[in-house]
Amino acid sequence: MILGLLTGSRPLAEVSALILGLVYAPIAIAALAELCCGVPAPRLEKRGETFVISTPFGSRRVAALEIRDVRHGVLDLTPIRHYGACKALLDTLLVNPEFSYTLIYEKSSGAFRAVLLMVPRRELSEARLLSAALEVVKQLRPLGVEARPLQEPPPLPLKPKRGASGAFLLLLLAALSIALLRVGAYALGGILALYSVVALILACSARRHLHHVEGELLYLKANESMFTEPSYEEMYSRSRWLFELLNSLEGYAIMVRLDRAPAYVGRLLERRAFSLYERATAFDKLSLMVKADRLLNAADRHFHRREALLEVTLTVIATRRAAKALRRGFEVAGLSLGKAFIRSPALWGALGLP
Amino acid sequence: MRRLMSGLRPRSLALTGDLIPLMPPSIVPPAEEEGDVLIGFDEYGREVYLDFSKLPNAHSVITGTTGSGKSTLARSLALSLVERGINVIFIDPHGEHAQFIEGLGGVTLSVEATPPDVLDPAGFSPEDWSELLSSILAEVTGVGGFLGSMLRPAIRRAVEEGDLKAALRALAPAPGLLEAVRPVLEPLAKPKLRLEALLEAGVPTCLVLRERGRLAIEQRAKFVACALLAQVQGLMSTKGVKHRPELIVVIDEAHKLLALSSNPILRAYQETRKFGFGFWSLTQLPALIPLEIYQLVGFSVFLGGTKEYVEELSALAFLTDADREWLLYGVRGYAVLVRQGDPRPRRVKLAIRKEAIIEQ
Repeated sequence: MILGLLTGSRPLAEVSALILGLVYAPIAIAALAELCCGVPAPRLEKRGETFVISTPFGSRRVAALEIRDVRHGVLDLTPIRHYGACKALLDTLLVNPEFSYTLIYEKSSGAFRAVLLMVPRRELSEARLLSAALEVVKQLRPLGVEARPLQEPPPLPLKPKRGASGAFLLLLLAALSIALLRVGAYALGGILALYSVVALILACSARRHLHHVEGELLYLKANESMFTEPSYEEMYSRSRWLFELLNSLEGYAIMVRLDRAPAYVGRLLERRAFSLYERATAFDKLSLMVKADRLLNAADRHFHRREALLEVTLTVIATRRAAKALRRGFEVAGLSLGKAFIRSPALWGALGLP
Repeated sequence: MRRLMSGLRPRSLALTGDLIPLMPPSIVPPAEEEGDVLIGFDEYGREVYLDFSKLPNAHSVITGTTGSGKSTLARSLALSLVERGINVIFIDPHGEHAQFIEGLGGVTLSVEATPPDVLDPAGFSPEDWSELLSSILAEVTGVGGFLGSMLRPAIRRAVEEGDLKAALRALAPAPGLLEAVRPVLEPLAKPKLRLEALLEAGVPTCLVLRERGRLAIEQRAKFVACALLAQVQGLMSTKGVKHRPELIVVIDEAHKLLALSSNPILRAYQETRKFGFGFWSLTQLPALIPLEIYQLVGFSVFLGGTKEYVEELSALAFLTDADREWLLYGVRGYAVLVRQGDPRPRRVKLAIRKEAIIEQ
């Protein structure tokens, strides 16, 4: 496009603008639909003994457990025993590859709730889901975690939105695009028409799911902790810090989705570290050497310390004050949170979908 | 659209160690009771309750140095109990709680003006009761050995005849012994209060062991208190097992009684079954209390105090560093609550009700 503008060739500028518009179309459309009409959030509803997560594009039956009590927590365990308890819990959850797990911590009106959501990778019957959930309850008990089937879904800070004014705005944009096409701004008009019409269709199809996020929505932007070698004491002090923070704050929902990463990812990590190291020594580049060393640290933790490698989607919805504090708190734990530009993928992803 | 969402889903790689702070043992606070008597708020602002239906018994120990708020806490909790239809009796050495009890519509009875009937066996057999009374009397008066053994038949006679003077008459051949027990027994010879009638009336009561401004003998106060507590235990036990308390007896300055080997409080604490009553011992000297009491009571509340006091307490009750800090550096009204059945002590800011605060 810049080339087109520099050369003074209008067709070249128009074509390049059109290509650029098409490349970024998915992100731009989703952002436009969210901005005008609201976030199409998944809905969690109780049906029978289990729950159903529904999105505008389908639904899935899931099992949900309420974590009632943890017999031994960060307050009364030594750093090494605390690590052992948490690792045992995580490893227990990751045993069953049929499920993806989401831990939801929610605090509002002075009440703290912890929920474990079990989302099956394929559709399962209610009976099978329930038996899998009860199996998890049994497995958690020796680890000191008391859980029971959830009765009510946790109240996430999302408010239903009608989106009528947003739809009107999109219609206005569509009308503006026609005007642009008429005056000869084909690329701009075309892109605007595409964006507004698709966003409108998207919003209309998701109208029953449109929500307004009350507060800020943050997601896990980077996990810097992975490239360090935290000691048991360090992990314990991070946990203690987060415990104090989460139990003193009010008005937040934290969703952590955990999936075991495929085996090749670990090997890839190691291979990448080696190739970086080779490049670093070949070109005598210190920065590459440091980067390779960090990656090797992570690979070493996975292969030698037997730490599981996971794919994590972490989403936080919190009031402005809580979001600020949580951002700082997670930073201490090496997890940097960022504001999501498009919020629905972070929400869908955290709740185990798609 | 699903694929698009999947593609846009923000995901990061993480290792177990990175997620330790996000696991339930790192985040979920200890579960809290959901109702009954509110005692305060924990350090995270959650309400902390005493649920008597979940406690193995309604007995308690409340410790704290002078001015730490033991009595105020006991009054505040007593107020909530009275509102729930649970009667309270304060065994009060100084008449400190009289105003509060009268505010509740209760009565204040002075042991000097209204001597209780200590000869009433109250559910015990006359033999057991005279045995118990004579051992209490021997201990509070410091009469031991052969002289002490002479007390038993004398008290037995008094119990049988229903007259304490009979005991004094029986002791006439031993003038030294008579001299030792006369100041304790003589003022109680004309009883005006029957504990059974008091319990049946079901009104909050403050039993003042000493007249205000008058120093009656310490021994009589101890003897009367022990006898009354034993009677409470005897009477309530005859009513059978009850899972909800009907009566709470608050014993101020309990260390004076608990230091006696024949005290009935320890025996009541050792009862494994719930008989619908609880003894709450208030003391500023936790080390003077037999250690087993901390293992027997349904709940203990430790209030703040000096460093020496807190160190002593932490050795007795296995407090953690955080609990010690809480008690040492916390302001008035900060306490550590230990409930049987829950090994994790709770650091609480006590919720003291306004009506329980008495201007000195």
